Amino acid sequence: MKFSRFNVVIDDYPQKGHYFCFNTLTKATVVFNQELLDYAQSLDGVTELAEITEEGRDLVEQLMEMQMLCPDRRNETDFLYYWLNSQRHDTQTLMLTILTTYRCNLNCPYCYEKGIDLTPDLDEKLQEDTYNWIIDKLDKFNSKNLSISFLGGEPLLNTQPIDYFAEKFHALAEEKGIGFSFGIVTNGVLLKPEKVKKWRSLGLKSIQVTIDGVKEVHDQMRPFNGGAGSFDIIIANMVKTLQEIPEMELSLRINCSEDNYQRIPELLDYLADLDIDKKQLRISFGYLTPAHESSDEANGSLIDLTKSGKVEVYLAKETKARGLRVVERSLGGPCMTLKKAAFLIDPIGDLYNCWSFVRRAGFKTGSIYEEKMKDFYIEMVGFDVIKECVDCKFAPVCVAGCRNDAFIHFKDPKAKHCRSLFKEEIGKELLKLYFTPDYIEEMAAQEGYDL
Amino acid sequence: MKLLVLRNSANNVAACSTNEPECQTRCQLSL
Repeated sequence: MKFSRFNVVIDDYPQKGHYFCFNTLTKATVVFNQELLDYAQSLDGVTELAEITEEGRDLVEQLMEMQMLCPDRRNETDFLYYWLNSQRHDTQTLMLTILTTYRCNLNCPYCYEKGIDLTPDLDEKLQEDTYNWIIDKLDKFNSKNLSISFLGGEPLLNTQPIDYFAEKFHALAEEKGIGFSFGIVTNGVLLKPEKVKKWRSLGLKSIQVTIDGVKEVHDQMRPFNGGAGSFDIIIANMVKTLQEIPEMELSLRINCSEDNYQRIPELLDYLADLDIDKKQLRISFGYLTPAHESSDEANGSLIDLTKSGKVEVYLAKETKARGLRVVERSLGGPCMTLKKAAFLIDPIGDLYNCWSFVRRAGFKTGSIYEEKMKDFYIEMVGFDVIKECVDCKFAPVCVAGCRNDAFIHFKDPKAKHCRSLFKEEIGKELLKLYFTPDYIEEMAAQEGYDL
Repeated sequence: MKLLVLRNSANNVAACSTNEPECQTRCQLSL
């Protein structure tokens, strides 16, 4: 038996003499003591479960099930590829992003959709054609679940398609017994509790709103087309929605740049004082990157991605210190660009495999009106994305980084784009923030584990 | 007891489905 090379072990955490262990491949997470560590190490050379005492066998089986412990002869790289390829080719869930419009009521200088043609909106004819295409895909893929993200532009500028698809697929799900859920990524300017209540009854699971820092920074970064700031209206809509729907959670994405990240604790203070249940907010951080290969207008304020890991640790710490929830980064896995059953559908029925590739020359993967997919789709699902990363412990989480970043930095969407966020030292710091000593102590008390 | 399981194997960790916050977090887009 041997310890998996995908184990990230933190010594003496949460307390001296205990070991915290996270497996990047299975995401299993445990704490064990010195006694178990010594015992597991004593199994070196043991090849058969039968050689293990009955008392130890349960523990060994449990650790093997979580793939933290594995047979000496196992080739873990093959296991990594098996897992990754299964994820990429899985068609159980059809994952769609539907753009209801390219128009937006804000004018953010860094927008990745800057400069593209913003017409037309998704209209009724296209809606029906898209519905039929989805039905056909569900059938061909034999999918059991349908997951849709509505995006834009600003999707709430054209909500009719959201109503249409939510109602149609909610009914279809009831009739055929398939799973259906959807999410909306919005700037929050038009977010209204009445709409959210209705959509929740039809399968709305997540809403994401973005803030770019304290009011004065946000208002500069996310102004209306006329130049006025949007902070107050977004916060007011968010608070009203969460107050009226107490069981609702909202993902709040905070965009960071060199200019604003040191003031984000001020924003966190403000958020912690809002008149809502703190548990309703799930906070995550985004790092502004160049939107296009030709875009350098905001470069002065961009956070160097090689440093972003340290910034993430700092911000996650500040967030937790205020009793707010931070979204775990350690889960990862292949994104939609690498997956067979994931498509973005734009308002004219063109297909793409990443939100940032829309309307860029050479990045279209197909159309709902064409049977045949383009080479770019086949290649992105088929290429060996981790060939330079097989020895990296974080390969199952990071999966060689973001395809858009790879394209921006190396002019090649297939290139490896290594981020410090997933280096061992940073990974461990983040794990300590997701699994705090308090949380572990609480779990230990419940499970009867002696810390 | 020698082992405390905080999160069991992976089956409960769904693949990235783009409308989950975890997926959007992984994504570096400037939304």
